[in-house]
Amino acid sequence: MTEITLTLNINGRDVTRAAPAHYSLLRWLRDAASVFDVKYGCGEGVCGTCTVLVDGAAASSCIVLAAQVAGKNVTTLVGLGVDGELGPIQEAFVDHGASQCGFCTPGMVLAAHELLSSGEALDRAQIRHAIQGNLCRCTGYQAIVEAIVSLVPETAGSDS
Amino acid sequence: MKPFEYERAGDIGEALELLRAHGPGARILAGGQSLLPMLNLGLYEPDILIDIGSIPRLSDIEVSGDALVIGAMTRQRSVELDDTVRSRQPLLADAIGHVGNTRVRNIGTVGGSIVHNDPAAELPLVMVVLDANYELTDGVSRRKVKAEDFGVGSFETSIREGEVLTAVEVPTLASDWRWGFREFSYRPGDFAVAAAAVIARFEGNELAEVQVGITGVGGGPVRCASFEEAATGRSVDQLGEIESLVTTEVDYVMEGLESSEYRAHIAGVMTTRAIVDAFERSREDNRS
Repeated sequence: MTEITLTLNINGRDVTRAAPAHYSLLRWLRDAASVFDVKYGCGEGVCGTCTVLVDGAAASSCIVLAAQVAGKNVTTLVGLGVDGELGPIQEAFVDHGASQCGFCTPGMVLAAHELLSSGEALDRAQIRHAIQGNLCRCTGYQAIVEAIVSLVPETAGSDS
Repeated sequence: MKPFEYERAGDIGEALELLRAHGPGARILAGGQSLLPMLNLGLYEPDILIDIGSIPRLSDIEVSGDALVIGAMTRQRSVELDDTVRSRQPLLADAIGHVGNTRVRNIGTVGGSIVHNDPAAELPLVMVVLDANYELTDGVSRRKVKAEDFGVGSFETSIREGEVLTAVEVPTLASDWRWGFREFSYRPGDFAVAAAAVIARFEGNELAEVQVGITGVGGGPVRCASFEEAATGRSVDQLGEIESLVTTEVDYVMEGLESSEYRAHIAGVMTTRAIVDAFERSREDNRS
């Protein structure tokens, strides 16, 4: 098994590890770099549980090789915290009870971050459309949508 | 998953050399959004992946006369959000937004989807409807292949061993043509049971010219020549009668959760709706 040494910037910190070449980004983060806030879900890129941001854009870390993103900036849920405290999206999720079993939460928060980073006004339909690739098997979508809505000051449109 | 090796190619020449050197166990890695799930599921076991995803200039979008030339490694999300694509070929910009989910489109490439040739994929369909051309190279010679001639069947194309797709040449939408795209799937982001893509020119309520394709129904995208012929000169509100013609060119209608009859029916309905969408767009433009 061929090992390769990669450096990834994880949540603002350069991390260098040697690991098998075939490791997905998810496996590299968990098994090589001990970054455990990234969760394994489906292994097919469908459920959104393993979402990370690669240079600010959401990706399914289970279907991206670590080697593909060598040298890039990878943000996990923890990276959205501010000085060791919860960041604004995380706060909003807490305030709205937008987490039941919690397994989809890292992916949901990161999907919300990508969505909100455009700074554009969003209605509920747009928010639902944007998180359609993230599955919550507790089906707690309503609170998640409300948490995201609370971060869009000029939210337009009716409940849909 | 069986372990494999990984090489990142700096340019096309290097990628082709690696491909030759490693033989049949080598596979090109573009974005990997179809390939990696297949590896995770144990459906495919390569010895080495040759990553061409970060080769410079393979991800440019350029206007060349009446066509857009899109580098094979252009991310699907970049095409979806590109102002030039949205204004010059809105069918492509809209249809590509139906691929997977945002995460898939952030990493997945135009060329990767085309060469993978999933029988329900949106991109091959749009390319067939728009009469796009694919540019391929084996390092010695280049060739152009019509999108319609590229797909051979499910997950099969006429790409030759030791060849890579470098760019896609997509005709822009002429100013008096309109477009429509409809897809039926059970869940957002899921593969289409059937999808239809249409470009058309209208005279009054009639279809003066129309190009139609469907996918999800047979072994890949199909250009519906019989339907196109029957639809030309026909009023938009009389398409229901000829809907069943959309599957004339399909050899075998796939069965899934649904019967092949139902799948064929859905393909017809999606086609009519896509044409009506195109017609509504022409009326809106005439009003403004």
